[in-house]
Amino acid sequence: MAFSDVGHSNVSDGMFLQSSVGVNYEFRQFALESGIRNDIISNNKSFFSGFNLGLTHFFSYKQKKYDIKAFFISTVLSGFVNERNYSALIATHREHFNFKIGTGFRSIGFTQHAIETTQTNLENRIFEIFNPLYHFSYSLNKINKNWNVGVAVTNIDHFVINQPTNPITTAFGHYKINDSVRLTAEMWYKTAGAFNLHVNYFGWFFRPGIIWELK
Amino acid sequence: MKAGRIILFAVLFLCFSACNYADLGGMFVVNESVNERFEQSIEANNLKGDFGFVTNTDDYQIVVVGDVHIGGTKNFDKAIEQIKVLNPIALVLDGDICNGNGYDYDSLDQHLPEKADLMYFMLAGNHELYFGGWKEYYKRFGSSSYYFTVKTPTANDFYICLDTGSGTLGSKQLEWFKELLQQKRTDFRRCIVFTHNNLYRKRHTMSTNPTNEELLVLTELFAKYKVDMVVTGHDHFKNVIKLGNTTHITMNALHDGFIYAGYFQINIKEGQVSYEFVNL
Repeated sequence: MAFSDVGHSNVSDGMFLQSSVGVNYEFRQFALESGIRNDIISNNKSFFSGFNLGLTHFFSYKQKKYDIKAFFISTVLSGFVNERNYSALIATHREHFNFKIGTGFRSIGFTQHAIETTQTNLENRIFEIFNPLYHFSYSLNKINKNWNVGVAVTNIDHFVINQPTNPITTAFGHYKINDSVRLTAEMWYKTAGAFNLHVNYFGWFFRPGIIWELK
Repeated sequence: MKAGRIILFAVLFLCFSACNYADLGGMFVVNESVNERFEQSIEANNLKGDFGFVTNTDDYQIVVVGDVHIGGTKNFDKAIEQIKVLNPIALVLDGDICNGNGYDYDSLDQHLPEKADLMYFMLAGNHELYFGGWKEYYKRFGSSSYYFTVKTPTANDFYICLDTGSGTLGSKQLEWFKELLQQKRTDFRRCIVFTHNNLYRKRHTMSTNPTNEELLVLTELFAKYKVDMVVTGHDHFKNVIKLGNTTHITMNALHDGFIYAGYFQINIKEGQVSYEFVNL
């Protein structure tokens, strides 16, 4: 899987461009996945700005399919500060709907660069526990069709987990060129303050991508 | 059955919309963006000029209150009386002092101290913005993004007020804040930031703090420019987080009927910053 994000946010100092690659290896009823993100045009001082690693288990219960995923995300969003997320999700898929809920632990702390730059003790981290995670999506076609479009509300992305009170809205689509290759496109719109009842634009980005399936 | 649910939802929506405490429509659309408010704040700053205190002693106090949510004024009146006795150099009203309705602002006006008796600074929280409340705020108090300074015989201290009523600084205010720290921070001994939204989530709550990406950028700025303290409200329950050089304070709310109602006292003594949560 490979995709790029091009967009703008309140903290990006203009447009940003990021590229990401990921691999997903399926065996029996498990999938192991990992990915990295690079900041190509960005005010982020760190070129490698994200890493994720996840393990998913697929199973059926009462003739319905579910999967459970445990995953880790590490991000360096400012070059000075890093964030680590340890999370777990349970997901179920219906013909047109996709539901995921879960919880995560998050910590924020300083990079070695920050400690050296400020020459002070910045080693302490803060922790947030049991942050709720969610992802609800609706697809126009059934999930296995050659093409699809849909919308989703979520606080989870490949390298970012937002606070539960900062939901992100996305529109997505994909087109299956052949049995192995699928083209994807997503549009993400981020807001701040919705749950404070004073919503404000935060940012948007467009994400074209491609998925290869090797059998 | 389905129609019944729709009617129930509509009735609940209308009841909540009609309440004078929260402006439900603000979840989807608002009158002014934070960028627009910031531009107006800068216009007000340009008209007023910078504000600086000069003291003849190195030791002084600043008191902060938040989340009064006028309507009710009993706790606010009691706190003001106590704070006057303390005789701080200034009082900072850290947002959600009223609920945005015109009559709430009228009530606040009646209960504020005379500036000659107790100099105060105000900044907007999310509740000040409800029901088109920014226009009232701006008419009465002007800016919500500004700074003031305190000059003692031996040093200068820097106090910055930021508008996070919309859960974000917005691109323009963030840029201004960065430039302010870049250009002025080294001129000052201590730097303390006041803003309404608490930044980190130490308990589970429906209230919103700035998005992840913004939080990391702010965390970097606070560390890089050695911001000593960030004083917030919003969450209503007191909390202290030490992250790097910065102490992040969330104050108890001061609204009537709140069991832990209180205010927050910053003490500058021999150049050091200490603090105290004071219960009413």
